[in-house]
Amino acid sequence: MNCQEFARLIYAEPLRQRSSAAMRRLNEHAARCPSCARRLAEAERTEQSLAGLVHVQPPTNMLHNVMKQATARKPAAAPARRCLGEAVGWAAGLVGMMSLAAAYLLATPPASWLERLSLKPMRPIGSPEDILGPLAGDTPLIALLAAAGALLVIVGFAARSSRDDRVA
Amino acid sequence: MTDQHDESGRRDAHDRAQIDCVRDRQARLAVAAVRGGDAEAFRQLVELYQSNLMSLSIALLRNVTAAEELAQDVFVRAFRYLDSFDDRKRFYPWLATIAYRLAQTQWREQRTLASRVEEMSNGMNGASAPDDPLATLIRDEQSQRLWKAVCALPFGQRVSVVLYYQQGMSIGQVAGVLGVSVGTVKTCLFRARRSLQTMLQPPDSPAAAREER
Repeated sequence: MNCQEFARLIYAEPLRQRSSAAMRRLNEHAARCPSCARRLAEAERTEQSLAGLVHVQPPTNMLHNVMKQATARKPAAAPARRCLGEAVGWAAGLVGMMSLAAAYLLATPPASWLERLSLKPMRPIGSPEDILGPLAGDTPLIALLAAAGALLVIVGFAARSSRDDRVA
Repeated sequence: MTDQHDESGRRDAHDRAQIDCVRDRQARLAVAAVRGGDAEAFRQLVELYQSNLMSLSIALLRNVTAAEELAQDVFVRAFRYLDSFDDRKRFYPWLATIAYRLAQTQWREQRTLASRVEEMSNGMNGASAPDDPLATLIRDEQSQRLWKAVCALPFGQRVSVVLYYQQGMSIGQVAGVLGVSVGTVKTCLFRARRSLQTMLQPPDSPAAAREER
């Protein structure tokens, strides 16, 4: 290593980051060259004095001012808002799933249910129309329930994921 | 000599890491308490980080009054937006990021204002010289000299130096705060070290003469 390369290496990495291999090379050259040894010592002194850079003390009233301003602006509204958003997400998802379940039960009901609800059976259970029937307009109530249910599940999921995104 | 430096450097880094670890734990508890509705717990966060933030604000703005206002504003905003803080991460880098962004906004506004004032006065008086924060806040002459040298560095360099050397952040964390690449921070630190070495030499020293050549 020559003196030019030595000078470049001294500044290339901060002392904290310098590898032991680089350090060894620097020390080897410094042992042979008094001028570079001085330069290395100066560079290290500079870095160490920077690490000891004193903190500037804040004004004594900063804590008081911050607390006054902060609590005046937002009296701990964040947790409440976060909980509310989460609760809305869960509630929408839950109602949506219940609607979907209700739509399914109405589309493929046991005979006793139909009598109780005074609804007409659509088709014999087991055929493909059991699933497609409500969407084909045979029973508008079921189609409506299914659509609303799906929508609410999506809304609930979106509300929860938007909260997660904000946190991340 | 370098071995001694190495040893003391490692010891300092170890002590600092331990202090940071304790602080992080305290900060995490305080954040959880504030989120749980105990607004007074924020007091502890201010106490933990006000010195760090004040030093960073001075490095950012080089003006005591503006730095005090900035530090206060950062804490108030942190309180308001604590909801968006990811508590898996460290608290101080998040605070430093808010400070950096607010300072950038202020700096842009001040620059616009300064250019308008200069236009109005036809450049007769020029911009007002930045005040000397160090004489009033730091009594030790050696520390004052060091702070003056740091404040004389260009913006990115002095902020990198304060975050990396004084506040013990890693290069990656500094890059995260400044919103730049790790390579850019390394370059800033490289230039800062070179400039500081020249600035901190006594004018008649052989090293200063060598640098001048």
